[in-house]
Amino acid sequence: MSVSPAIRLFAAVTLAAAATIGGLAWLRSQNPSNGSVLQPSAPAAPFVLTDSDGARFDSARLKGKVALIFFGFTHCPDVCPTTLAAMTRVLEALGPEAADVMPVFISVDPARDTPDEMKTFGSLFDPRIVMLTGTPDEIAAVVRDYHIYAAKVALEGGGYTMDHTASVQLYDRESRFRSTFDFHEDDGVILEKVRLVLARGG
Amino acid sequence: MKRLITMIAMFALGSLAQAADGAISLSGVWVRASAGGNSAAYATIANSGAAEDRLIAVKGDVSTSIELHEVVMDGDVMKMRPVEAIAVPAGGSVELKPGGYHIMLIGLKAPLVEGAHVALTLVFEAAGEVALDAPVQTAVSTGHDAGHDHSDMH
Repeated sequence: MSVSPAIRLFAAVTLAAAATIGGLAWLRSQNPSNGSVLQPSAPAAPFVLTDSDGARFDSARLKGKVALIFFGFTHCPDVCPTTLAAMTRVLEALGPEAADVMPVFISVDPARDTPDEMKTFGSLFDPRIVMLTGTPDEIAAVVRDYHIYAAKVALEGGGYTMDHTASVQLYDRESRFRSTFDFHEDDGVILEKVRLVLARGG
Repeated sequence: MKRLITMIAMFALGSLAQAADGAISLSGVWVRASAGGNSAAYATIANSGAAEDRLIAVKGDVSTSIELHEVVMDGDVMKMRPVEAIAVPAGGSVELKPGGYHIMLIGLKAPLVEGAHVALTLVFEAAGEVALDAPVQTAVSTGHDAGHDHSDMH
């Protein structure tokens, strides 16, 4: 007895649907959420910068931690404090999990952002956020290596502002780029992204 | 009874800053705490009038200068630019909030500590001057609490 094409199609669709549902259920059981992270690429380039105590900070210290790296400047009145505020709330929400996270703020304005300026600015946020600055050459190199856009824009009064990438980059324990978030996103979404990298990143 | 209602209404409005002709009112006013350098003030500006009004300047002695700024996103790049004015539509409102418009306080004369108040005078093209005391909130604030802490009318 031959099977009609309609029945064969029905069987195929049913099988495909069952496989999809089964596969999704398996994926869900493996993951904390439906979200995803980027496939691991090569580890980010190493750097050595200066922290807000004036001590040298080697990026080797990021290894074994999930790094949240944000580039900005201390004269920034809006997006930078808003982003560092989100990082502060997320660190609090992570509780003990935060021990596996290293939040880092890197200046794109080395001319004005001395370690002292970084310390003052950083005092408003979670003290676990590592505040880094450097020489113009060191900052130019890290901006390039981390694919950050940063440009000085003159203001009428004689001062200047900095246009810069507003995304926070998430790196896994092997310093591989895995995800981003920015200040537009709800705390819950940001928290989930950090947890995804914690769960799956390296 | 009518007088009582009027009195209650006046009392309620007393917690909001309002221009002399009553068309402009402000709510959710706050300033971000800052250890020095710069900061920003935010508010929701409502216009009950029949014509558009424009916020054209802000005066105050908290900082060396005060400008109106807008943050625009170009892809994932943040760009902050001065604007000449912020329009408040007739019968509508405009929200000054992180990632949008803000009143930029440039060159603070002293750190802004949570719980303090900053005296600012907003200058509107039509409504004239509106004075307010903006409460300083923690730098970690999202501004969502600001609605409960209205500015005081001068």
